[in-house]
Amino acid sequence: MAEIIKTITGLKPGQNYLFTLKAKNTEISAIDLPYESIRVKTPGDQSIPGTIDNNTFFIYGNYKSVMFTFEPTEDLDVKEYEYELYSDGLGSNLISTGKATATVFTIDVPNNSGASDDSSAQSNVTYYGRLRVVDTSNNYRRMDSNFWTETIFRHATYRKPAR
Amino acid sequence: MTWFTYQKNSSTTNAPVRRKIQFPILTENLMIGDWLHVNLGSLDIGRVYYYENGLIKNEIDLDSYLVVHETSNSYTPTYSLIVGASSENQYDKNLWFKSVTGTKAGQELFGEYYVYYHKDDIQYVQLSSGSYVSTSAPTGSNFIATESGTSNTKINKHSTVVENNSTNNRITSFSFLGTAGIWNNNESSTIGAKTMGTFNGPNFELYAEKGPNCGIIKITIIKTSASGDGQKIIKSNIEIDLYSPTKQQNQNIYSLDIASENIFLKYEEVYGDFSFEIEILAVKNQSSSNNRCKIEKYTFSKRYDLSLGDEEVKSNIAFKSIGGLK
Repeated sequence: MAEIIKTITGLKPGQNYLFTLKAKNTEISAIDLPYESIRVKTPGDQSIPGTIDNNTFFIYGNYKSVMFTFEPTEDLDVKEYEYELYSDGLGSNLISTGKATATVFTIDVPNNSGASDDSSAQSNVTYYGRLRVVDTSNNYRRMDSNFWTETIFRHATYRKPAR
Repeated sequence: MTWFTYQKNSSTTNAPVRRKIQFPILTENLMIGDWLHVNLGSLDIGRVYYYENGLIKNEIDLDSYLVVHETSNSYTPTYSLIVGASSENQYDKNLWFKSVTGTKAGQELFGEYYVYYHKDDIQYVQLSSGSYVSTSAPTGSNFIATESGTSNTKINKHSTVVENNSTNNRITSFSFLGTAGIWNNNESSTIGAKTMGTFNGPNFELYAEKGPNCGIIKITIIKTSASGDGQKIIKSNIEIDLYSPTKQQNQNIYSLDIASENIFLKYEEVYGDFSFEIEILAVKNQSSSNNRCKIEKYTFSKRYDLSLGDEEVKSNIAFKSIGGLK
């Protein structure tokens, strides 16, 4: 039995890949159906993903949503960005948390334009958000809070309109 | 092509490949809750290869496959488990899953079953607001069946129950031999009276009534399928004393695991067709007042001759060719 060795490059760490083989007879241009696929999981890496540049990270709020926008890092194995949204700058009142794969995304927040009449003085609503990078080996788990975008969160202030 | 999908981290995801579990016309009433199996043979569904300590290793990933029952407008995942994946005996390597639909013998299966695989954590899903969403492994809600325990996720290799009375809801049933009248209300005290039944291997259990007037029976187990070395008696002259000072109903009087007998090596034999024959003997326990015999039921797992179709690849993924070799 012959052993054929083929090197495949460009695979990302900690990812699942399917491999299959197709036998091809080039003389009659006949191709067999693919053989049963096999699943291969590449080893995870220990590297910590890069941090997002604070100078490119901003959040914007309105009465029903908050938008995050930032420049991506240069990591080749970025899987997703984990975000947290707070109502205070100390990070004690979490509004929302989740993961996104885009560098610009919007998350819903409770409707904050609840003024009953236009004579009432309306106070501003301020949101505080932060981000961190998760790579394909889920290396974010090894990060501490210093790997979030900022210790003091980026914030967005939304002025409530009068009805 | 419809395909089972579910939500994970607010996005839709799916397994990359699947195989249809093919059912022939059913030869037995399939009931909700029955445990079915399909022999995997050399297929490696659920296996993942990985690199560790300088070596390429592999293992069965219990959460990387999911059996789903599908109709034109519904997907219903069900409990499943690959058993015997590491066994040297191919007959041991079976995908067991729990039936979520009932179909009468002689009819085509209602809907279709697929096994989706090569997707990490796909077993960790649950129904939420009409659609399936992922849960957190390894503690979240999942469809991984078990081989032990008592919950409804445990594989029941005796889910085909053949009752010896009018409540029997299977096609398979007891046969009574001898002149008319010696079996009355499914019991007899006539020496030499016989009853028979058929089952599929490898697991078989027989239940009978014990009591102060019960006799001794002789059991013979016969391989009836023509596969392998043909039909033959595999167990004979097994004598069981049904005497008991007090009446005890539905007692497990005999159990057989054909696989552990080490007489067959092929799936078609171990999980093949068998029959049993019970004869009331002239001898009886000295304390017994009669030769009475009342067999109440037997249990096994019906083999429905299921098979797996060709591997189907989800249309939204494509294999990248890395060139050929001559």
